[in-house]
Amino acid sequence: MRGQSPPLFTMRLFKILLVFIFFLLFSYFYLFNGAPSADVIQLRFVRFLLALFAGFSLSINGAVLQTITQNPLAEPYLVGISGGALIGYLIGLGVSLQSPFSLSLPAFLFSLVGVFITYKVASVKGSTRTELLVLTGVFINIFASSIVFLVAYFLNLSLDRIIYLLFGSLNIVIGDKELLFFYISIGLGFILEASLILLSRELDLIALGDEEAHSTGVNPEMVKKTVFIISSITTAFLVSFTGIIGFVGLIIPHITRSIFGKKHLTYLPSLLLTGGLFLLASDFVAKSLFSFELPLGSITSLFGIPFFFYMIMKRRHESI
Amino acid sequence: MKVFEVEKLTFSIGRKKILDDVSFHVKKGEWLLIAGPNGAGKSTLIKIASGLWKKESGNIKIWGKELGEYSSKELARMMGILHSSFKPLYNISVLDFVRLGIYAKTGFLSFYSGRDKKDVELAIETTEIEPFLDKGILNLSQGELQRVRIAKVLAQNPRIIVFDEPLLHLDIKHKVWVLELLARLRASGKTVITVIHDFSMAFSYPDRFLLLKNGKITYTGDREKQDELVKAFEDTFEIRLTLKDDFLLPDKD
Repeated sequence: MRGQSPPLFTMRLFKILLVFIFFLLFSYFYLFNGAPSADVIQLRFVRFLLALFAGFSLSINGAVLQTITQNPLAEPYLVGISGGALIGYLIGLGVSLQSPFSLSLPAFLFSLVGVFITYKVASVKGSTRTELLVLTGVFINIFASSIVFLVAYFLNLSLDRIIYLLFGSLNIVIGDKELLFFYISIGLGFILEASLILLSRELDLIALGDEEAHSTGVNPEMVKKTVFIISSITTAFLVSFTGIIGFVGLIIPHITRSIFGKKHLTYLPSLLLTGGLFLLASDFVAKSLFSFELPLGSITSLFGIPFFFYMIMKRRHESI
Repeated sequence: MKVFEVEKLTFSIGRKKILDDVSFHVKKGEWLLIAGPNGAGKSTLIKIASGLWKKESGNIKIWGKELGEYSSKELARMMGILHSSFKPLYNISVLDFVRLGIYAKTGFLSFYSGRDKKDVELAIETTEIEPFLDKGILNLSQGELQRVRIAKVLAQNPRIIVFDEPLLHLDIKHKVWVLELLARLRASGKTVITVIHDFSMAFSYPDRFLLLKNGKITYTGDREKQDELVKAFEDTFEIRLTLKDDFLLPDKD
């Protein structure tokens, strides 16, 4: 056994265990630091659940979008799902819907429109062109921001609200009456995202290209439609509660792949830990760095944008 | 027994007809070679005949049943297809890659069974890829990669083998290796359909030929009337050819 590295499997197990322990410790700290009262714990728990869902949802949607578009830069924000959802949300506000639950519906419809436009514009012969994908997504997001400002002007939205919509925040208040409904919706959201794990083998094959997947027995169109619909529903729900949180879906899948490997069956579930941990940590920084709360999306973008440039540079070198 | 039957197949992109009234068939245990100049519609034919692209009009039957009546999984259990382009997103290991070949034979989320393991092992043995099972698929030479891709097709254990340009980018040793492997597979009872550019070298292998030019069939038939066949190759490729020791070579004069 001298000089032999432990088998890959044991290494992976060890890494998962390590991340899991770290995740538990940080969750405990997030919920219970500073000896809080029961009421505070309940408030924190709602926020904790939302952070965990946001982290998991954004990362797993990013991961599966990267696979089905054959593009490592895809994620809900960059493919226009989040921007579309925000437009739907604002239209919902315009026709005087109030609760984030009811606003999820128009958000969902428009997120589908957003991703449909991006995908149609960017796909050339079955795989998406990076520059077209990113450009279209960015334009949909700029379009969404312009609508935010227009709507803000007509509906008298506060500056805080605008910032939170565009840069994301977990600072939401859920009334006691809505609490049960919130838990149920979040639970359904988790189930919906977890159902993507059932497509692991199909995704493994689609990562090899549509032709390869089809000749091995997968119907790529069916898998793609399923993924687009599930990520649109979950992102729309998330945007209605938290606004846009960018770049999580880009960074986390990439880092998670490098730790846990590229098989979707092990990699997708691990995103609950890594994505959750990243969002909890970012949120902790956002709310405790200064006496006032920073918008969460600005923290994630602060990490995400340099990472985005790093990925572009890396791809540029590889293509030479 | 007609394994593969195509009738009056037509396909266009925009106004351009890529395939125009194409009909042919392949019998059980035969090797069909499809050849034609660049842009003749060979790869399009493979993509439509394998169900990847939707046909415009015409009929495609496999074992007497319409192509559209099979599910994706059923098709993959019958037909092993090697497409010409291959652009994987991630660098997975050769072993993981070959194991994905058994997908169509397993149920929903079911894992690796004993019989599948045998198919994978046989595929690895046949293609002699044992030495680089732990390598990443993006770190292989062209010849190694082609053997690994073929191993994945063989792990499907298909009765019909469809290879689109299997010799592309290969050195001469690997070209001969692929042709000999296909000959062995046909000898074991499989039906083989190949698109091959380098027909000079492959000429002695197939039982039946399909020559295409501008989306139209210029010749279809077996090798019984050899002079006619050589003449058809000459007309299709607009080049003078001589048959020499089983090789169909360009004429220098």
